[in-house]
Formats: sequence, structure tokens, C-alpha cells
Amino acid sequence: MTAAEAILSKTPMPTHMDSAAIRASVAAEVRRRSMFSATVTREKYLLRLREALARVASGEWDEARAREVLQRELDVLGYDAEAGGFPGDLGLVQPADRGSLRDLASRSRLNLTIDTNTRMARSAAQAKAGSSPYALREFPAWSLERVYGRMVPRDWAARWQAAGDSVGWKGAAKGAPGLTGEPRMIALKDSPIWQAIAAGAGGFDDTLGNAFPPFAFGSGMGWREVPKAEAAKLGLGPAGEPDTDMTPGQNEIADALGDLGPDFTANLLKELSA
Amino acid sequence: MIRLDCTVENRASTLLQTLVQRLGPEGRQELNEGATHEVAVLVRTHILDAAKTRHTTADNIRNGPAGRTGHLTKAGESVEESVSSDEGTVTISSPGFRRALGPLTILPTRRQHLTIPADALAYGKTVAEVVREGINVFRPKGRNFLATVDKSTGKPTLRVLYNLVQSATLKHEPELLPRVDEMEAAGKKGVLNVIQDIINKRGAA
Repeated sequence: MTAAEAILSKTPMPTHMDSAAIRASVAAEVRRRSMFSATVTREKYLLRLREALARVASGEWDEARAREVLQRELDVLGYDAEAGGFPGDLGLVQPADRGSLRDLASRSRLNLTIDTNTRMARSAAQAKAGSSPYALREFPAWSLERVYGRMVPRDWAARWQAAGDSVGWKGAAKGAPGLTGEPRMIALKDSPIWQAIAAGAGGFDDTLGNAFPPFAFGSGMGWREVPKAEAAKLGLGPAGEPDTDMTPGQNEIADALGDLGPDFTANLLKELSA
Repeated sequence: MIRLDCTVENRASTLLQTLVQRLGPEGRQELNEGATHEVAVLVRTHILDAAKTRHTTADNIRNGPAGRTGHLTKAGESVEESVSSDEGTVTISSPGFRRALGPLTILPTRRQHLTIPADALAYGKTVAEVVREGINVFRPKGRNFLATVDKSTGKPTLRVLYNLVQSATLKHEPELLPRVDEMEAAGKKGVLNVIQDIINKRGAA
């Protein structure tokens, strides 16, 4: 499923709740399958939002076009932040300062919504591609790294420490120094540290609840796949005996190589290594 | 969207073609998965690394890394892969990224002109957004730009916000993608890894 398809598969769920209330009262699995946006009470706007997000994720629109379309939709629906939202919201939504994050039509709110949802969908697709048997074998770990600059970066080293401590550092590298001394945040793809970060281990309440980036609102952190040799240097590798199970596809290849003979295999390996 | 073909059969040497021709759908998919994932990782890493170094225009107009729109990083994050028994593809879904393959001419679709930001107030924003922020935007008669009057220093000065153009051509930037030989090497490495893993497993069994 592409990132755009994942967005289009979400069910719009109008709500008057803010982000904290949504996180507290709606199960993570329901949130993942639904399209919520804090204090958005109009399904029609959520449908437009879903369409805009899918078009951004597919590369058809850039963020400026998406913002323009959504701002126009809000105007058509009569949205007024300072008057308490959409007509008929009847005091369910508190008035917001124009231009603030709580103003659905503000540039900052729209950017946050578009960036967060697009990045979540793309990261989910990256996580899925990274969990194929080939990817797990050759790139067994993720490295959490900064990909967008921020005026006031969060202390990710502290979050990594808290999350690692909470799971006993299972499958995660503790204190591996980077080139300039900062800690590298690398863990096996199936390490519980990723869920611990998602849950805000250490008392952080700004997380999105997903075990993939962005882990928190407005976060500039992303993932890089770590090759097995690099992971092994940090002591991160498959535990126990090597896996000897073969998939049906591998069996097919093995049988074909057997039929073609050892000389063929040796020559093919030599050619692929050249 | 840019689509890169990573299908093993399309790029196979004679020896590899001989192997592929003996395989059914599952075997072919196994090889396509290896080749495609290696190319996807290479492409994503390459674009994200390029994003870290290419921000001169943004930094000239706005200050520092937090002010950048991050369009190259977004392109890197948009890299997706799709694999079947018949093909493997890597896609990059980012507007404007097609300039990696050749010059890209952008024409206005909904208005008469393109608006090219020329000032920090306008960077990353549409004209409608700048107006929403309460800034009075106007087009001086006979001129091809949109401006505002800046009174912040006491003396009113004309501040050009957007240049109006009828088209804009983004130059070809092949360095935004890995070289073709690098991508082919990644694909080969994927196939090699698949076969080596099979040999190791058969040997251990």
C-alpha cells in the first residue's frame, strides 16, 4: 500500500476534542485507521483534508497548493477561529486566536497537519518495506537521526535514554557515540524501544503513538536503515542459531542453481561481485 | 513522480537471465525484492544526504535550517518501493523532482503568472497566505512583481515580495539521484545477497 493509499483508507472522524483528549480516549489502533484532526467537527472538511493529504503524499500537489485548497474549504464552510470554529459548533470548541496553532486556517496549523500526516503515511510505508525478509536480514536496524532542522530541537538523547531504560535496552544500542560525540540512536527493527518512544517513555506527552517517525508533533527526526555489518559492530544482530528456513522463492532459486550446477553458481557469484 | 525500474530480468546479464528463466513467480519475486530494496535504500540515503548540503537559496532568503521548506528531505522521505514477480520499482513522489532527469519547465495552470518569492516575508507562502497575515500586497502599475510598502523603519519603502514570471525552468540536476552505475551496482548487490543467503542456508541445513 502506498502512502497515498494509506491516507485514503482512513475513515474521517469529526470531533470537538483536542489532541490530548483524542490520545487519552481513543485507542491507538482506531486512531491509526481514522482521520482525526483536533477540534475539526465537520466531516466535509475532513474529506477534503484526506484528499489533500493523499495528493501531497503522491507528489501531485505541493504543500502550498494543499494549504490553499484547505483554506478555501474552510472559508466555504464558514469557519471562524475567533468565533469558536464552524457555524453550529455551539460552544463545543473554544475560540482561538487567528493565526495560532488552534486556528484551523492558520499556516502553522495547516503545515503541521499536512507534514505530520504525510510523514506518518510515508514512514508507515517505509516501515512496511523495511520489514520484508530481505530487508530484515540485510538491514536489521533503524537509526533515528535528524532530517529537518528545528529552532528549538527536543532532547532526543534524553528520550532515547529513558526509552532504552524502560525496555532494558533490548535490541537497542546504548551510548554508541557518533562522529561528533552525540549518541547514535540505533536499534533493531523489532526492538521494543521504538514502541517505548512512541508511548512517551520518560513522561513525554507530545508523542503521536506510532512506532515510526515522526514520533512527536513537529519532530524533525527520521529513520535510516542500518546495514547488518554496521549493526553487528554495535552488538545488534540476530540472537541464537542462524535461521535456516527457506521461503518458497528461495527454494525455487536453490533448486534452479542445483540444476545448473556448481560451476554456473560460482561464475554467477563472480559476475555479481564484479 | 519519478519511477525507477529495478526489475532483475530487464537488467540481467546472460548468466542471470539463464537463472531467471528457470524460476517461477516466487523465485523471480525473491530476486526483485533484493534488487529493489537495495536501490530504494541507496536512493533514499542519497537524496537525504543531498538535502543536508543543498540549501543556499533558502538560507539566503531566510535564516538558518529551521526556515527551510525541506523539499529535498520530503523527496527523500517519499521514496517508496513496489515489488512483484514481474517487476520491481522505486518511486520518488515529490513535485519538481523530475529535474533530476532533465530540465523542468513550470508553467502557470490557474493564473497568468508564476509567483517567485523574493523576500523572507514571502518564502514558502502563497500570495493568499501573505494577505491573510494582514500584509497589503499589490502590483505596481506596469511592473512584473508584487510588493508591499514597509513602514517599519519609519520611512515607507517598497519591498518586492514576488517576481511575476510566465514560466520558470529548473535546471537539470542529475546529482539529485545516484548515478545509473551506482543504482545498477546496488541492484546487483541485492541479487548477490539473495543468492549468498540461499547458499549459506543450504550449507547449514
